[in-house]
Amino acid sequence: MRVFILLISIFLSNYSYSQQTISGVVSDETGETIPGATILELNTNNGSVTDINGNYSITISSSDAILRVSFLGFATQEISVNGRSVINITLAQDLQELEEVVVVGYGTVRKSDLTGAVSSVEISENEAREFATVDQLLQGRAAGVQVTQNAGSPGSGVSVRIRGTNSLRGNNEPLYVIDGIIISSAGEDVNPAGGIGNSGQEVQNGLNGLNPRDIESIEVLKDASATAIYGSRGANGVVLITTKKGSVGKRKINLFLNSGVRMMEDQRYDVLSGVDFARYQNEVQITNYGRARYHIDDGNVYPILSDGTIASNPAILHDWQEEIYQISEHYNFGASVSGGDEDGSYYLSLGYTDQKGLVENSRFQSGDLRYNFDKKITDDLKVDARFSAFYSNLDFAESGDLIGANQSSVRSILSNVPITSDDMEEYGNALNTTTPLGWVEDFEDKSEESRFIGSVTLTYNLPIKGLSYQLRAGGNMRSKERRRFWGLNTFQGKAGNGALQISNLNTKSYIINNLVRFNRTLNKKHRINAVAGVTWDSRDADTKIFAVQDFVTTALTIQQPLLGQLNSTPLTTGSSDTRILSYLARANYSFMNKYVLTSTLRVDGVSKFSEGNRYGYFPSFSLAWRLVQESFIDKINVFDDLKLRVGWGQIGNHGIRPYATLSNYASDANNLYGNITNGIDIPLYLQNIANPDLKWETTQQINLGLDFAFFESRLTGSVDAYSKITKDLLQNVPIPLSSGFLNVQVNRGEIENRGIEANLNAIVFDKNNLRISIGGNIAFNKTKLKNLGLTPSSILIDGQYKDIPFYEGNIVSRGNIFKYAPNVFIEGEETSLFYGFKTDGIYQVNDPLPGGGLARMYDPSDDNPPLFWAGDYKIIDQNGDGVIDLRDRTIIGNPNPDFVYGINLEVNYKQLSLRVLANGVYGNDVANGNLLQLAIAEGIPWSNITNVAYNNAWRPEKPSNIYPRIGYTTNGMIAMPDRIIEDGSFLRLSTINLGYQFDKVNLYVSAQNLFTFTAYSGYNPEVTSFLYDGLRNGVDWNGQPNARKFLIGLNFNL
Amino acid sequence: MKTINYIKIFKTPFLVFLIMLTSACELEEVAPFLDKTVYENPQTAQASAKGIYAGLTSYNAKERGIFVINGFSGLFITGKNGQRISNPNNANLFSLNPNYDADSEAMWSGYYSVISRCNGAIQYTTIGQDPIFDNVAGHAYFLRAYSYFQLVRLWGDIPLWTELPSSTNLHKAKSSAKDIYSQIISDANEAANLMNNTLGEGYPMMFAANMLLAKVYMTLATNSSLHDGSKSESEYWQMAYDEAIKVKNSGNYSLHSNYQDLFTLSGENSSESIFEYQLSEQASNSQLGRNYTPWKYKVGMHFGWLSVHADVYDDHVSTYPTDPRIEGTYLHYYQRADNGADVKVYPSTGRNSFRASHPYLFKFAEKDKSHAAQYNSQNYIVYRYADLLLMLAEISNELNKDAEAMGYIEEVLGRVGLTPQIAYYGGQSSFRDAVMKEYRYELLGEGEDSHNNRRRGYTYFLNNIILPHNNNPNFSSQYDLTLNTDEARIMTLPVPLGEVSTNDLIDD
Repeated sequence: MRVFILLISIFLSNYSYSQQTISGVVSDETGETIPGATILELNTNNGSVTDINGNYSITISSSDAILRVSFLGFATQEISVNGRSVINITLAQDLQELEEVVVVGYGTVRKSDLTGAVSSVEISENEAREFATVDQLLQGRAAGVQVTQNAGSPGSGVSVRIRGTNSLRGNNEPLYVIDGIIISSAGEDVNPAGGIGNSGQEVQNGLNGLNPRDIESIEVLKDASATAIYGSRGANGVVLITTKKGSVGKRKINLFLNSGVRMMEDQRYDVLSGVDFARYQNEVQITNYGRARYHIDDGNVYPILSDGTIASNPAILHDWQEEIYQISEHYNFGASVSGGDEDGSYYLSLGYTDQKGLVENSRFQSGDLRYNFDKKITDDLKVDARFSAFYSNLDFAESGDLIGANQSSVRSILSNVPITSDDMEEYGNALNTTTPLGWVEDFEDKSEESRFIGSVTLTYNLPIKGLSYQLRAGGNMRSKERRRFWGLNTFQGKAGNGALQISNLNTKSYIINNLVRFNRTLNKKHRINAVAGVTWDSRDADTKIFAVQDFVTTALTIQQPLLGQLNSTPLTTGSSDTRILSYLARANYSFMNKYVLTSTLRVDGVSKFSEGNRYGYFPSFSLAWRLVQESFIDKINVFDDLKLRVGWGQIGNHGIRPYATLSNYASDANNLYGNITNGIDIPLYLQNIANPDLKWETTQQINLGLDFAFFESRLTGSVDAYSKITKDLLQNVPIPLSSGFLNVQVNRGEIENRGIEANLNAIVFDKNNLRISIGGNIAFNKTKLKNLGLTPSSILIDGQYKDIPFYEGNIVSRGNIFKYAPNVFIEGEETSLFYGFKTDGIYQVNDPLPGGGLARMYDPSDDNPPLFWAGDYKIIDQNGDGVIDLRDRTIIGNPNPDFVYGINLEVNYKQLSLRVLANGVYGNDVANGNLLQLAIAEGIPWSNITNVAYNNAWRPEKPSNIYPRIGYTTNGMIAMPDRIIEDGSFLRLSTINLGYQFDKVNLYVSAQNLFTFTAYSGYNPEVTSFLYDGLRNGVDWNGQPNARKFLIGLNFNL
Repeated sequence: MKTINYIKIFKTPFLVFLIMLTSACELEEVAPFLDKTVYENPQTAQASAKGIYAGLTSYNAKERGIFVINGFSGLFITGKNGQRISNPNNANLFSLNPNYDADSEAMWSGYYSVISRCNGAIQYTTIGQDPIFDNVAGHAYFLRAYSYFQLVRLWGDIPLWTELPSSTNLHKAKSSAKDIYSQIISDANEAANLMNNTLGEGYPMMFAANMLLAKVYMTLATNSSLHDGSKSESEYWQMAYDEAIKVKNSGNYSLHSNYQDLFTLSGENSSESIFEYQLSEQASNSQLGRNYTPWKYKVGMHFGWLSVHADVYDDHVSTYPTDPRIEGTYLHYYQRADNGADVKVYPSTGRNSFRASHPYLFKFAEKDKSHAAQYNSQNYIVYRYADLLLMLAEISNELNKDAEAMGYIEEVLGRVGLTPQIAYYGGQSSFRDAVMKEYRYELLGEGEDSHNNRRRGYTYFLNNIILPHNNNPNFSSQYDLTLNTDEARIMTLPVPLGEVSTNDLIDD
């Protein structure tokens, strides 16, 4: 077309009289030249287009001619030549034309026409490159979006909650949609292949491969009117991700490189040194058995052998936290090239990341590739294709096992005896513990993962103006293998003579969307943006587990399962398939740019439910009133934007595993029987209680929002208030053990979330090349259990026994410590409250005991031991019945925050830029399960404790009212004491990024997690150990330390 | 004016739309095995019967069950959770001062899981048509009876499930122990009628159900509160006799020649075995050899969780000083598997530390000292013929069949080259006490001690087990547990916390 115009213009110019040639450059406001811009002389046929460098030359008919310069996306300009021969033209962006468009479900709308609660997450390129997955970068950047992790190590699981807890199921993760492809893998990991002893596999990130570097925009859809178009998967909010495209104009090449170090945050447990531990043990041993265990001499510790002799060599003393946690390096580099013309564009990028963890054998490496292109095939037919490939290699050794006493790596680092000596073997104890070095040198947790996401979209403009048909086919393939190996220096490896577990996960999903769109403005008053269609979504997840033990040699670690002589878990496969057939429609209608109405409907049919309950209907309605367009507002002359939004919608959730409506008999690798030749008989057994009545969990949400802008849009913000009720909660509830099963899937109860969230952004200074902007977001949410669908039973609340329906959540550990449910779910209260014993200090000698008698000194030979000794926790006998039992439990804490917030600051001065991001949580409690042993001088010879627990332990001559006596234990305690409940509030300076722009190179330094302000005594107040378990919340059980990162980066734009 | 061909325009999307609609039928789920279909096919029905046995060998039911039953017998001490007298297990369960603890909860959960598997088989198997299905149902009845018997003897009143739970039927109040025993009797009788040998070798024959019934009647005989009003104690002894003698007279069983061999691989599935768990390293269904192998006795991991009270050992030795069963039951002097160094505990060494103060229970230990793996293969014998003979001796004594009673004792002791101790000749009461001790000498740790010790009531337990231990002349408060004497605490375990907190119909 351009060539054609050019030819015509050249042709015409040959026949002109009084010819004059004008030349110049057309560029945009930033100085970038614009190729392909059209220059026409008004009222003539003279014309020209700019070349690849934005240069043009036009021959005009007279020196007072008027030139019309136009280019798509820019305001057309008319310029009088006035005798000039060189005219450089700067085109301004056409704001009317290019008004910001926001991606919404199955389409886009103008920002002004948005009626729902949608947060756009803005993130600079340099910052995006610091994150491995998209969920992590949401932290602190959008109101009402809370991000928690189960560990600070690379590749660890991340949980994102939007507007509180909608469901008591485990997984409350939002739905991620990348370029229209639904990614259902948040919170998903390979199955554990059968643990050894009291162990558990920590989940890893299910969103690997959703690379933040290629992201153009992220929209977080929060209210029902925005998410109802996703129907049965919209209840937890939707994160819409659009990847980059090439733009029309000059080819762009970007190269980036950053590198830095990771180290532990300052938060750490202050445990006893080797010498102090020896003192502690001696005190215990002398009290109980009249002899010391260690001889201490001049800072050296010598074990005393059972025959009373002192070992000749001093023992080695350790500070395990110092020895195990290291400073590690990481780097990241990549490149992209993009470009395009009016017919289409391309974007190609690749990247590589290498991140080492806090312990030596922990590392995450990944490579990724993306190719996006779009092309006009004909004037009416356009194709848009997007492909990405990702591969990663992760050694997750830093996290180790989750559960268990000294069987978890973190617990081993914290509580392992800080003294080692060959002479100590005779103290080998029932747990056969090994040193934490075993977790570094003799443990591997390697995952190899690849993911391919691709989609092809054909858009055909139908011969009715504004009407188009779109066919999108896309898929997402994820393949992961995780191998975990325990060598002989770990508890598990010692138990099994080497142990290897191999777990695989292969998921394949595809979607086919058939959409008809209508987008048109009629009579300049009515604007309609509508979409309707049918989608088919199919997802197959195949799992494999396999485990071997008893290794001939452990030298090859994860490489050769054949070396394991015992198949402790024979190869077992599993599959779960889900199909969803959906019909959807949305209409967005705007009248006079003032009143906007959006209505959506989705009908989902899901294979997980039995026939009568299979289809769900999810409607929504919302209205926006752009007050700023009203003359009475305009007259005030204060607002640059003012929009009131109100919406209602119903959304659903079917996030349960398939086949729950059926009673499934199956074989299970961990449930085998022997036979008379010591071989295997494979049995079948019933795995679950079927619930044929399972149906949708439905959420109704009302949202009221106000968007505003003042002072020439230097102050912008929005406030949203919402209320949502989720009914027929899908829950995997614990049931009486006597049923023979541990839980059952049911629809039960109602949960309500109410909240207010706000964000405010202000440009506080913008003069003389200095621009300072500051922003923040805050979200208050209260979750209330409206109805549990249970019969009332008696529970102690605020000092009164009340008959209220309630139930307890899942227990934390299978051992004897923390073997109870920390959370209780009480009708009318907030969710997941901490439930346990209130204490009132420590029993002092002669304090009255429940049920009579006075506290006396501990005496192991006492024939009639009292309920409590002096120096024990003084657990309050709430009902005064003289015994401490389950009836004395009450609410002792609340893991739900009062609010979560994020603050960002951006300063730009000439070529210098500074971005600071902080995020915080306020008002939540954390149950720090680690204190159940670390903060008590239990006296056991293989477990280290904190300094305060030993030094300030209750002693008759130095009675404490905080720390119990030496020898006290929480082992076997039936409920959680309030002593482990801590304030989990924190404010974290999560990112500081300082950059300088040299011509085409941007140099920056950045720090992550620089400071955390908190009163929490554990490693990381932000950690939740049981990420995707709705019935265990706010618990830190062997939580990992958080990492602090420093990096320096270079970014070339060529 | 251009005519728009709407049909052409919409053809493609319309066609796709139609395809979508027709594919809706794929929304139906298909699972591989369902409850009803499993019991229609002989192969899958038999596999489900084996699933019940697999449930019994789960870690919860078996390893933890053995720990609880022995721990609550008053005869053992443990180093689990600390080599010290005050570790939580010693302070609670092992001192007969039971609290909520993880092991007893796991055992409860394990046995109820077995019961639910039995209920599924009983509910869906059609009997009277095919011996294979009859046998599947028979084993289900037998194992349900066995599981309830294991539970009721430890907990007393417990929930009684005889059907599978459903999503609307999950809570069950406690039934009286008396009702539980009625169910056990009815189930065991069904089992005795239905069981045949179609499940193959290694599974118990119907006589295991008779032996179970004999044990039940013996338990009822000495617990009048559990009597069916119309029956007397002697009638129960007679019923016990009738069932026990069926087993003997079946001719299927005899004593295995070598006592110690019973606790090794070569003694598996011997003629003495009436009911035996098939454990194998390959099936990964036993960690008995890890949990109960003494310290450093084998190369692989070893916990040595059960030691026998020193006075229990002393009593055995003083009664039968030359008893070969001593060597099969206890371990106190051995060489370390890793470096050959001597390890001595009481009585091979003085009582100078906690661990050294008691002999280990040796029966469940892995006997192969080079064994390095976590799982092992040695079977666990639940019921054996020697136990039956001792039962017959006890019953016969109660029924005043003195000569017959002595015959059984002589048969059991004859295998190990011994003759009955003098107490057997001191009249009915003296014989009774002697046979109650004989169970211990012959069967210590094998699963019945806790029940045998309590079967004759609180006073018998107090005077014959608890006080002799607490008051024994070598008692050391530093190394020996003081057993609780409070009747309200020592006779039954508290219903586990996990049950109380989830069951709407049980408060304590």
